[in-house]
Amino acid sequence: MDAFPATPPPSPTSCITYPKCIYDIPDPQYNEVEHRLLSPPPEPVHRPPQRTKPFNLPAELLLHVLSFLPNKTDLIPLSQVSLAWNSCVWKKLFGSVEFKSVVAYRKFIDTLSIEKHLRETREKQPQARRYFNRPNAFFGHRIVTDAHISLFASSCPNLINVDLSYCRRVSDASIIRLVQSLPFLRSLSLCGTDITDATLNALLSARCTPNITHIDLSYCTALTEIPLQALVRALRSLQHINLSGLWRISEPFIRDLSVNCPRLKSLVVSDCRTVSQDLFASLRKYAKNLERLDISFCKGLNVEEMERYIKGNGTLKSCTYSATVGSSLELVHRVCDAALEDGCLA
Amino acid sequence: MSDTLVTLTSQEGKPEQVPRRIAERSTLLKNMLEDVGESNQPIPLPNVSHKILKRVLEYCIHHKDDPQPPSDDDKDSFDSSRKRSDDIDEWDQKFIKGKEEEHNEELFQIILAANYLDIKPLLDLGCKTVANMIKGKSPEQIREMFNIENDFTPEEEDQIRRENEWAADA
Repeated sequence: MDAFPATPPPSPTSCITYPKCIYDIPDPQYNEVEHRLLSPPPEPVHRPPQRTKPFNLPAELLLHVLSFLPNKTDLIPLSQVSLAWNSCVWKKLFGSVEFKSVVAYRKFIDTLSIEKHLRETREKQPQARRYFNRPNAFFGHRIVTDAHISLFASSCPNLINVDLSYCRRVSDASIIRLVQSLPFLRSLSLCGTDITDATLNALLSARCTPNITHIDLSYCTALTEIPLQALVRALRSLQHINLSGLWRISEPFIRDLSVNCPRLKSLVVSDCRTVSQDLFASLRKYAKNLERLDISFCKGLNVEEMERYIKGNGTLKSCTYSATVGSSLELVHRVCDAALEDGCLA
Repeated sequence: MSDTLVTLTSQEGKPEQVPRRIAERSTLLKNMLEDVGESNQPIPLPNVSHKILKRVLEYCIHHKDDPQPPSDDDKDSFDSSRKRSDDIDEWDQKFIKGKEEEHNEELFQIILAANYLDIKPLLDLGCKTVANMIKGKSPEQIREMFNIENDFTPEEEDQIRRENEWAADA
Protein backbone atom coordinates (compact mmCIF):
# COMPACT_ATOMS: atom_id res chain seq x y z
CA MET A 1 0.00 0.00 0.00
CA ASP A 2 1.13 3.47 -0.71
CA ALA A 3 2.44 5.54 2.13
CA PHE A 4 0.04 8.10 3.39
CA PRO A 5 0.28 11.12 1.09
CA ALA A 6 2.36 14.02 2.27
CA THR A 7 0.77 16.82 4.20
CA PRO A 8 -1.84 18.64 2.14
CA PRO A 9 -0.63 21.97 0.81
CA PRO A 10 -1.94 24.92 2.77
CA SER A 11 -4.56 26.76 0.86
CA PRO A 12 -3.97 30.45 1.30
CA THR A 13 -7.51 31.56 1.90
CA SER A 14 -9.43 28.96 3.80
CA CYS A 15 -9.05 27.54 7.24
CA ILE A 16 -10.44 24.09 7.13
CA THR A 17 -11.64 23.38 3.66
CA TYR A 18 -9.55 20.47 2.63
CA PRO A 19 -7.55 20.94 -0.50
CA LYS A 20 -9.29 19.54 -3.49
CA CYS A 21 -8.14 16.06 -4.10
CA ILE A 22 -6.73 15.43 -7.49
CA TYR A 23 -7.87 12.18 -8.91
CA ASP A 24 -4.52 10.59 -9.06
CA ILE A 25 -4.54 7.19 -7.50
CA PRO A 26 -3.47 4.59 -9.96
CA ASP A 27 -6.17 2.05 -10.53
CA PRO A 28 -5.03 -1.27 -11.91
CA GLN A 29 -8.26 -1.72 -13.82
CA TYR A 30 -7.94 1.61 -15.58
CA ASN A 31 -4.44 0.84 -16.71
CA GLU A 32 -5.60 -2.45 -17.98
CA VAL A 33 -8.28 -0.81 -20.10
CA GLU A 34 -5.80 1.61 -21.55
CA HIS A 35 -3.46 -1.21 -22.20
CA ARG A 36 -6.16 -3.10 -24.04
CA LEU A 37 -7.01 -0.08 -26.18
CA LEU A 38 -3.42 0.56 -27.09
CA SER A 39 -2.15 -2.89 -27.82
CA PRO A 40 -4.31 -5.35 -29.70
CA PRO A 41 -4.67 -8.28 -29.76
CA PRO A 42 -5.78 -8.76 -26.20
CA GLU A 43 -4.66 -11.93 -24.60
CA PRO A 44 -7.09 -13.71 -22.35
CA VAL A 45 -6.02 -12.81 -18.86
CA HIS A 46 -6.74 -15.01 -15.94
CA ARG A 47 -7.29 -12.94 -12.91
CA PRO A 48 -8.04 -14.40 -9.54
CA PRO A 49 -11.58 -13.55 -8.58
CA GLN A 50 -11.35 -10.50 -6.42
CA ARG A 51 -14.29 -9.90 -4.20
CA THR A 52 -13.51 -6.47 -2.91
CA LYS A 53 -10.78 -4.12 -3.92
CA PRO A 54 -8.99 -2.19 -1.20
CA PHE A 55 -11.07 0.76 -0.23
CA ASN A 56 -8.23 3.22 -0.14
CA LEU A 57 -9.78 6.62 -0.19
CA PRO A 58 -7.28 9.46 -0.48
CA ALA A 59 -6.73 11.19 2.84
CA GLU A 60 -8.78 14.26 1.95
CA LEU A 61 -11.80 12.14 1.17
CA LEU A 62 -11.38 9.97 4.24
CA LEU A 63 -11.29 13.15 6.30
CA HIS A 64 -14.50 14.20 4.60
CA VAL A 65 -16.07 10.88 5.61
CA LEU A 66 -14.88 11.35 9.19
CA SER A 67 -16.37 14.83 9.29
CA PHE A 68 -19.78 13.14 9.34
CA LEU A 69 -18.89 11.36 12.58
CA PRO A 70 -19.00 14.11 15.17
CA ASN A 71 -18.66 11.84 18.21
CA LYS A 72 -15.26 11.13 19.61
CA THR A 73 -16.37 7.65 20.64
CA ASP A 74 -17.08 6.81 17.00
CA LEU A 75 -13.70 8.10 15.87
CA ILE A 76 -11.31 6.58 18.37
CA PRO A 77 -11.67 2.92 17.32
CA LEU A 78 -11.10 3.94 13.69
CA SER A 79 -7.57 4.98 14.53
CA GLN A 80 -6.67 1.31 14.88
CA VAL A 81 -7.63 0.35 11.32
CA SER A 82 -4.42 1.29 9.50
CA LEU A 83 -1.70 3.92 9.44
CA ALA A 84 -3.53 6.07 6.92
CA TRP A 85 -6.77 5.92 8.90
CA ASN A 86 -4.88 6.59 12.08
CA SER A 87 -3.42 9.79 10.71
CA CYS A 88 -6.80 11.00 9.54
CA VAL A 89 -8.55 10.19 12.79
CA TRP A 90 -6.00 12.06 14.84
CA LYS A 91 -6.14 14.96 12.50
CA LYS A 92 -9.90 15.04 12.90
CA LEU A 93 -9.90 14.37 16.61
CA PHE A 94 -7.63 17.21 17.45
CA GLY A 95 -9.87 19.61 15.68
CA SER A 96 -11.78 19.93 18.91
CA VAL A 97 -9.76 18.79 21.87
CA GLU A 98 -8.81 21.11 24.63
CA PHE A 99 -6.82 20.13 27.62
CA LYS A 100 -9.27 20.20 30.44
CA SER A 101 -6.81 19.46 33.17
CA VAL A 102 -3.16 19.51 33.97
CA VAL A 103 -3.27 15.72 34.06
CA ALA A 104 -4.57 15.55 30.51
CA TYR A 105 -1.84 17.89 29.38
CA ARG A 106 0.85 15.83 31.12
CA LYS A 107 -0.48 12.66 29.50
CA PHE A 108 -0.34 14.35 26.15
CA ILE A 109 3.24 15.42 26.68
CA ASP A 110 4.12 11.89 27.81
CA THR A 111 2.58 10.41 24.69
CA LEU A 112 4.51 12.83 22.52
CA SER A 113 7.73 11.96 24.27
CA ILE A 114 7.17 8.23 23.79
CA GLU A 115 6.20 8.90 20.22
CA LYS A 116 9.35 10.90 19.61
CA HIS A 117 11.46 8.22 21.19
CA LEU A 118 9.86 5.57 19.00
CA ARG A 119 10.42 7.63 15.94
CA GLU A 120 14.05 8.13 16.70
CA THR A 121 14.70 4.50 17.50
CA ARG A 122 12.99 3.04 14.49
CA GLU A 123 15.24 2.46 11.54
CA LYS A 124 12.75 3.29 8.87
CA GLN A 125 11.10 6.54 9.68
CA PRO A 126 7.45 6.28 8.89
CA GLN A 127 6.31 9.17 6.77
CA ALA A 128 3.67 11.38 8.23
CA ARG A 129 3.19 9.10 11.15
CA ARG A 130 1.13 11.46 13.17
CA TYR A 131 -0.50 14.81 12.88
CA PHE A 132 -1.71 16.28 16.06
CA ASN A 133 -3.98 18.91 14.84
CA ARG A 134 -4.83 21.94 16.86
CA PRO A 135 -4.69 21.23 20.53
CA ASN A 136 -6.73 24.27 21.24
CA ALA A 137 -5.04 25.40 24.38
CA PHE A 138 -1.80 24.64 26.03
CA PHE A 139 -3.40 24.29 29.36
CA GLY A 140 -1.84 25.38 32.56
CA HIS A 141 0.29 28.39 31.74
CA ARG A 142 3.11 27.80 34.15
CA ILE A 143 3.58 24.13 33.43
CA VAL A 144 4.35 24.78 29.77
CA THR A 145 8.11 24.84 29.29
CA ASP A 146 10.53 25.28 26.42
CA ALA A 147 11.02 21.53 26.28
CA HIS A 148 7.30 21.01 25.66
CA ILE A 149 7.26 23.63 22.97
CA SER A 150 10.11 21.97 21.15
CA LEU A 151 8.21 18.67 21.36
CA PHE A 152 5.21 20.31 19.78
CA ALA A 153 7.41 21.85 17.12
CA SER A 154 8.86 18.49 16.13
CA SER A 155 5.82 16.25 16.59
CA CYS A 156 2.84 18.36 15.60
CA PRO A 157 3.62 20.01 12.30
CA ASN A 158 -0.06 20.43 11.54
CA LEU A 159 -1.08 22.63 14.41
CA ILE A 160 -3.54 25.25 13.29
CA ASN A 161 -4.36 26.97 16.51
CA VAL A 162 -1.75 27.72 19.13
CA ASP A 163 -2.65 29.41 22.37
CA LEU A 164 0.26 30.22 24.64
CA SER A 165 -1.48 32.89 26.67
CA TYR A 166 0.38 33.71 29.86
CA CYS A 167 2.94 30.97 29.31
CA ARG A 168 5.68 33.01 30.86
CA ARG A 169 8.19 30.23 31.17
CA VAL A 170 8.43 29.93 27.42
CA SER A 171 11.31 31.79 25.81
CA ASP A 172 11.44 33.82 22.63
CA ALA A 173 13.73 31.30 20.98
CA SER A 174 11.38 28.36 21.38
CA ILE A 175 8.35 30.35 20.20
CA ILE A 176 10.34 31.35 17.13
CA ARG A 177 11.18 27.72 16.46
CA LEU A 178 7.56 26.73 16.94
CA VAL A 179 6.10 29.27 14.50
CA GLN A 180 8.73 28.42 11.92
CA SER A 181 7.87 24.74 12.03
CA LEU A 182 4.10 25.14 11.74
CA PRO A 183 3.22 25.88 8.12
CA PHE A 184 -0.53 25.62 8.73
CA LEU A 185 -0.76 27.93 11.70
CA ARG A 186 -3.85 30.12 11.48
CA SER A 187 -4.38 31.38 14.96
CA LEU A 188 -1.72 32.43 17.43
CA SER A 189 -2.21 33.78 20.90
CA LEU A 190 0.80 35.06 22.78
CA CYS A 191 -1.19 37.15 25.19
CA GLY A 192 0.68 38.08 28.33
CA THR A 193 3.97 36.47 27.33
CA ASP A 194 7.32 38.17 27.50
CA ILE A 195 8.06 37.86 23.79
CA THR A 196 10.25 40.53 22.24
CA ASP A 197 10.59 42.02 18.79
CA ALA A 198 12.71 39.00 17.81
CA THR A 199 9.55 36.88 17.64
CA LEU A 200 7.83 39.45 15.44
CA ASN A 201 10.83 39.51 13.12
CA ALA A 202 10.82 35.72 12.91
CA LEU A 203 7.10 35.72 12.12
CA LEU A 204 7.79 38.07 9.23
CA SER A 205 9.56 35.33 7.31
CA ALA A 206 7.61 32.31 8.58
CA ARG A 207 5.69 30.27 6.03
CA CYS A 208 2.45 30.47 7.98
CA THR A 209 2.32 34.26 8.27
CA PRO A 210 0.32 35.12 5.13
CA ASN A 211 -2.36 32.63 6.26
CA ILE A 212 -2.74 33.70 9.86
CA THR A 213 -6.24 34.93 10.57
CA HIS A 214 -6.20 35.40 14.34
CA ILE A 215 -3.43 36.96 16.35
CA ASP A 216 -3.43 38.00 19.98
CA LEU A 217 -0.50 40.08 21.17
CA SER A 218 -2.26 41.71 24.06
CA TYR A 219 -0.16 42.69 27.04
CA CYS A 220 3.09 41.66 25.34
CA THR A 221 4.49 44.83 26.73
CA ALA A 222 8.03 44.30 25.47
CA LEU A 223 6.95 44.80 21.85
CA THR A 224 7.74 48.01 19.98
CA GLU A 225 5.86 49.59 17.15
CA ILE A 226 8.19 49.37 14.16
CA PRO A 227 8.55 45.56 13.95
CA LEU A 228 4.84 45.30 14.69
CA GLN A 229 4.14 47.57 11.76
CA ALA A 230 6.31 45.42 9.49
CA LEU A 231 4.54 42.28 10.68
CA VAL A 232 1.11 43.71 10.02
CA ARG A 233 2.08 44.28 6.39
CA ALA A 234 2.83 40.57 6.07
CA LEU A 235 -0.37 39.37 7.75
CA ARG A 236 -2.45 39.49 4.61
CA SER A 237 -5.29 37.25 5.77
CA LEU A 238 -5.68 38.75 9.20
CA GLN A 239 -9.23 38.96 10.51
CA HIS A 240 -8.90 39.27 14.25
CA ILE A 241 -6.26 41.12 16.17
CA ASN A 242 -5.95 41.90 19.84
CA LEU A 243 -3.52 44.64 20.79
CA SER A 244 -4.82 45.41 24.24
CA GLY A 245 -2.41 47.00 26.61
CA LEU A 246 0.22 47.84 24.01
CA TRP A 247 0.73 51.37 25.14
CA ARG A 248 3.13 52.23 22.40
CA ILE A 249 0.88 51.86 19.38
CA SER A 250 -0.32 55.03 17.71
CA GLU A 251 -2.60 56.28 14.94
CA PRO A 252 -0.35 55.68 11.93
CA PHE A 253 -0.10 52.07 13.05
CA ILE A 254 -3.86 51.63 13.15
CA ARG A 255 -4.10 53.18 9.71
CA ASP A 256 -1.44 50.83 8.41
CA LEU A 257 -3.27 47.92 9.93
CA SER A 258 -6.59 48.90 8.36
CA VAL A 259 -4.99 49.47 4.95
CA ASN A 260 -2.99 46.23 4.91
CA CYS A 261 -5.58 43.91 6.38
CA PRO A 262 -8.75 44.56 4.39
CA ARG A 263 -10.46 41.51 5.87
CA LEU A 264 -10.11 42.72 9.43
CA LYS A 265 -13.27 41.88 11.34
CA SER A 266 -12.29 42.36 14.90
CA LEU A 267 -9.99 44.92 16.47
CA VAL A 268 -9.31 45.02 20.18
CA VAL A 269 -7.29 48.00 21.32
CA SER A 270 -8.55 48.16 24.85
CA ASP A 271 -6.24 49.96 27.23
CA CYS A 272 -4.10 51.41 24.44
CA ARG A 273 -3.69 54.79 26.01
CA THR A 274 -1.99 56.52 23.13
CA VAL A 275 -4.84 55.94 20.70
CA SER A 276 -6.73 59.15 19.91
CA GLN A 277 -9.86 59.90 17.94
CA ASP A 278 -8.12 59.83 14.58
CA LEU A 279 -8.63 56.11 15.04
CA PHE A 280 -12.20 56.51 13.84
CA ALA A 281 -11.20 58.35 10.69
CA SER A 282 -8.76 55.55 9.73
CA LEU A 283 -11.27 52.85 10.52
CA ARG A 284 -14.04 54.58 8.60
CA LYS A 285 -11.85 54.98 5.58
CA TYR A 286 -10.08 51.63 5.41
CA ALA A 287 -11.54 48.98 7.73
CA LYS A 288 -14.70 48.40 5.74
CA ASN A 289 -15.39 44.94 7.15
CA LEU A 290 -14.95 45.64 10.82
CA GLU A 291 -17.57 43.89 12.92
CA ARG A 292 -16.20 44.14 16.40
CA LEU A 293 -14.34 46.96 18.06
CA ASP A 294 -13.13 47.17 21.62
CA ILE A 295 -11.88 50.58 22.70
CA SER A 296 -12.48 50.36 26.41
CA PHE A 297 -10.04 52.26 28.61
CA CYS A 298 -8.81 54.34 25.69
CA LYS A 299 -8.73 57.68 27.37
CA GLY A 300 -7.94 59.89 24.41
CA LEU A 301 -11.16 59.41 22.49
CA ASN A 302 -13.74 61.99 21.62
CA VAL A 303 -17.19 60.68 22.32
CA GLU A 304 -18.94 62.63 19.56
CA GLU A 305 -16.51 61.12 17.05
CA MET A 306 -17.21 57.72 18.47
CA GLU A 307 -20.92 58.20 18.24
CA ARG A 308 -20.66 59.38 14.66
CA TYR A 309 -18.49 56.41 13.74
CA ILE A 310 -20.75 53.83 15.34
CA LYS A 311 -23.92 55.28 13.89
CA GLY A 312 -22.50 55.62 10.42
CA ASN A 313 -21.12 52.11 10.24
CA GLY A 314 -23.13 49.40 8.54
CA THR A 315 -20.97 46.41 9.34
CA LEU A 316 -20.18 46.99 13.00
CA LYS A 317 -22.01 44.54 15.23
CA SER A 318 -20.36 44.98 18.56
CA CYS A 319 -18.53 47.80 20.21
CA THR A 320 -17.13 47.83 23.72
CA TYR A 321 -16.46 51.31 25.02
CA SER A 322 -16.45 51.12 28.76
CA ALA A 323 -14.38 53.69 30.65
CA THR A 324 -13.69 55.88 27.65
CA VAL A 325 -13.25 59.46 28.66
CA GLY A 326 -16.31 61.63 28.87
CA SER A 327 -18.74 58.78 28.51
CA SER A 328 -21.55 60.46 30.25
CA LEU A 329 -24.60 58.35 30.67
CA GLU A 330 -26.59 60.44 28.24
CA LEU A 331 -24.10 59.94 25.44
CA VAL A 332 -23.88 56.28 26.11
CA HIS A 333 -27.63 56.05 25.75
CA ARG A 334 -27.47 57.82 22.44
CA VAL A 335 -24.78 55.46 21.18
CA CYS A 336 -26.72 52.46 22.39
CA ASP A 337 -29.65 53.56 20.30
CA ALA A 338 -27.54 53.14 17.21
CA ALA A 339 -28.00 50.05 15.17
CA LEU A 340 -25.63 47.90 17.14
CA GLU A 341 -26.55 44.36 17.99
CA ASP A 342 -24.39 44.47 21.01
CA GLY A 343 -23.13 47.60 22.63
CA CYS A 344 -21.35 46.89 25.83
CA LEU A 345 -20.68 49.27 28.63
CA ALA A 346 -19.57 46.86 31.32
CA MET B 1 -29.00 27.70 -24.56
CA SER B 2 -29.28 25.63 -21.43
CA ASP B 3 -31.14 22.98 -23.41
CA THR B 4 -28.26 22.28 -25.75
CA LEU B 5 -26.79 18.84 -25.54
CA VAL B 6 -23.31 18.23 -24.24
CA THR B 7 -21.31 15.15 -25.16
CA LEU B 8 -19.24 13.55 -22.42
CA THR B 9 -16.77 10.84 -23.32
CA SER B 10 -16.07 8.29 -20.62
CA GLN B 11 -12.81 6.54 -19.97
CA GLU B 12 -13.65 3.81 -22.46
CA GLY B 13 -14.22 6.45 -25.14
CA LYS B 14 -17.98 5.88 -25.17
CA PRO B 15 -19.92 9.12 -25.73
CA GLU B 16 -22.87 10.07 -23.54
CA GLN B 17 -25.17 12.96 -24.44
CA VAL B 18 -26.81 15.02 -21.73
CA PRO B 19 -28.59 18.36 -21.59
CA ARG B 20 -26.20 21.10 -20.57
CA ARG B 21 -28.35 21.83 -17.53
CA ILE B 22 -27.71 18.32 -16.20
CA ALA B 23 -23.98 18.45 -16.93
CA GLU B 24 -23.77 21.71 -15.04
CA ARG B 25 -24.57 19.99 -11.75
CA SER B 26 -20.87 19.25 -11.90
CA THR B 27 -18.89 22.33 -11.01
CA LEU B 28 -15.98 21.04 -13.04
CA LEU B 29 -18.09 20.73 -16.19
CA LYS B 30 -19.89 23.98 -15.48
CA ASN B 31 -16.62 25.88 -15.37
CA MET B 32 -15.34 24.06 -18.42
CA LEU B 33 -18.47 24.84 -20.42
CA GLU B 34 -18.32 28.47 -19.39
CA ASP B 35 -14.71 28.69 -20.46
CA VAL B 36 -15.25 26.97 -23.80
CA GLY B 37 -18.50 28.71 -24.68
CA GLU B 38 -20.67 27.36 -27.49
CA SER B 39 -19.01 24.24 -28.80
CA ASN B 40 -19.95 20.79 -30.00
CA GLN B 41 -16.67 19.24 -28.98
CA PRO B 42 -17.12 16.22 -26.75
CA ILE B 43 -15.63 16.57 -23.28
CA PRO B 44 -13.32 13.71 -22.37
CA LEU B 45 -13.56 12.36 -18.83
CA PRO B 46 -10.65 9.94 -18.73
CA ASN B 47 -11.02 9.33 -15.02
CA VAL B 48 -14.60 8.12 -15.05
CA SER B 49 -15.73 4.76 -16.37
CA HIS B 50 -18.87 4.58 -18.46
CA LYS B 51 -20.75 2.63 -15.83
CA ILE B 52 -19.97 5.17 -13.13
CA LEU B 53 -20.69 8.08 -15.46
CA LYS B 54 -24.17 6.67 -16.07
CA ARG B 55 -24.74 6.36 -12.34
CA VAL B 56 -23.53 9.90 -11.70
CA LEU B 57 -25.78 11.26 -14.45
CA GLU B 58 -28.71 9.34 -12.98
CA TYR B 59 -28.09 11.27 -9.77
CA CYS B 60 -27.77 14.58 -11.59
CA ILE B 61 -31.00 14.02 -13.48
CA HIS B 62 -32.93 13.26 -10.31
CA HIS B 63 -31.49 16.34 -8.61
CA LYS B 64 -31.64 18.65 -11.59
CA ASP B 65 -33.97 21.13 -9.90
CA ASP B 66 -32.17 21.32 -6.56
CA PRO B 67 -30.76 24.71 -5.64
CA GLN B 68 -27.00 24.91 -6.07
CA PRO B 69 -25.36 24.08 -2.74
CA PRO B 70 -23.75 26.98 -0.92
CA SER B 71 -20.02 27.12 -1.49
CA ASP B 72 -18.25 25.86 1.57
CA ASP B 73 -15.47 28.37 1.74
CA ASP B 74 -16.68 29.89 4.93
CA LYS B 75 -13.28 30.97 6.00
CA ASP B 76 -14.33 31.87 9.46
CA SER B 77 -15.76 28.63 10.70
CA PHE B 78 -13.12 26.54 12.33
CA ASP B 79 -15.22 23.57 13.17
CA SER B 80 -17.13 21.22 10.98
CA SER B 81 -18.38 19.07 13.79
CA ARG B 82 -22.01 19.94 13.31
CA LYS B 83 -22.36 17.71 10.28
CA ARG B 84 -24.54 14.65 10.55
CA SER B 85 -24.86 11.49 8.58
CA ASP B 86 -28.46 10.47 9.21
CA ASP B 87 -30.22 12.98 6.98
CA ILE B 88 -30.13 11.07 3.70
CA ASP B 89 -33.43 11.10 1.82
CA GLU B 90 -35.09 7.96 0.55
CA TRP B 91 -34.27 8.23 -3.14
CA ASP B 92 -30.63 8.97 -2.37
CA GLN B 93 -30.44 6.00 -0.05
CA LYS B 94 -31.80 3.69 -2.70
CA PHE B 95 -29.56 5.23 -5.33
CA ILE B 96 -26.34 4.91 -3.39
CA LYS B 97 -27.14 1.37 -2.36
CA GLY B 98 -27.00 0.23 -5.97
CA LYS B 99 -26.49 -3.46 -6.63
CA GLU B 100 -25.72 -5.32 -3.47
CA GLU B 101 -22.84 -7.48 -4.66
CA GLU B 102 -20.65 -4.68 -5.93
CA HIS B 103 -21.77 -2.04 -3.54
CA ASN B 104 -18.43 -1.12 -1.98
CA GLU B 105 -16.49 -0.94 -5.20
CA GLU B 106 -19.17 1.14 -6.87
CA LEU B 107 -19.56 3.44 -3.88
CA PHE B 108 -15.83 4.00 -3.90
CA GLN B 109 -15.84 4.87 -7.60
CA ILE B 110 -18.84 7.17 -7.19
CA ILE B 111 -17.10 9.08 -4.40
CA LEU B 112 -13.98 9.51 -6.51
CA ALA B 113 -16.00 10.57 -9.55
CA ALA B 114 -18.06 13.04 -7.50
CA ASN B 115 -14.86 14.50 -6.13
CA TYR B 116 -13.29 14.71 -9.57
CA LEU B 117 -16.37 16.21 -11.19
CA ASP B 118 -16.93 18.41 -8.16
CA ILE B 119 -20.53 17.50 -7.37
CA LYS B 120 -20.65 18.36 -3.71
CA PRO B 121 -24.04 16.88 -2.72
CA LEU B 122 -23.13 13.55 -4.33
CA LEU B 123 -19.73 13.57 -2.63
CA ASP B 124 -21.46 14.25 0.68
CA LEU B 125 -23.96 11.48 0.03
CA GLY B 126 -21.17 8.99 -0.66
CA CYS B 127 -19.14 10.03 2.33
CA LYS B 128 -22.15 9.99 4.64
CA THR B 129 -22.93 6.48 3.46
CA VAL B 130 -19.39 5.37 4.29
CA ALA B 131 -19.62 7.13 7.65
CA ASN B 132 -22.80 5.19 8.42
CA MET B 133 -21.13 1.95 7.38
CA ILE B 134 -18.19 2.39 9.74
CA LYS B 135 -20.06 3.78 12.69
CA GLY B 136 -19.88 1.44 15.66
CA LYS B 137 -17.74 -1.16 13.89
CA SER B 138 -14.55 -2.60 15.32
CA PRO B 139 -11.25 -1.91 13.57
CA GLU B 140 -11.15 -5.56 12.50
CA GLN B 141 -14.63 -5.39 10.95
CA ILE B 142 -13.72 -2.25 9.05
CA ARG B 143 -10.55 -3.78 7.67
CA GLU B 144 -12.52 -6.75 6.48
CA MET B 145 -15.33 -4.67 5.03
CA PHE B 146 -13.02 -2.49 2.97
CA ASN B 147 -10.20 -4.96 2.47
CA ILE B 148 -7.68 -2.75 4.24
CA GLU B 149 -4.35 -4.15 5.30
CA ASN B 150 -3.30 -3.81 8.92
CA ASP B 151 0.06 -2.13 8.46
CA PHE B 152 0.92 -1.43 12.09
CA THR B 153 3.90 -2.93 13.84
CA PRO B 154 3.03 -4.59 17.17
CA GLU B 155 4.91 -1.75 18.82
CA GLU B 156 2.68 0.79 17.14
CA GLU B 157 -0.50 -1.08 17.95
CA ASP B 158 0.50 -0.94 21.56
CA GLN B 159 1.23 2.76 21.29
CA ILE B 160 -2.13 3.47 19.71
CA ARG B 161 -3.98 1.62 22.41
CA ARG B 162 -2.24 3.81 24.94
CA GLU B 163 -3.06 6.97 23.05
CA ASN B 164 -6.68 6.00 22.70
CA GLU B 165 -6.93 5.55 26.41
CA TRP B 166 -6.01 9.09 27.14
CA ALA B 167 -7.78 10.48 24.10
CA ALA B 168 -10.98 9.07 25.52
CA ASP B 169 -10.70 11.19 28.63
CA ALA B 170 -8.85 14.23 27.30
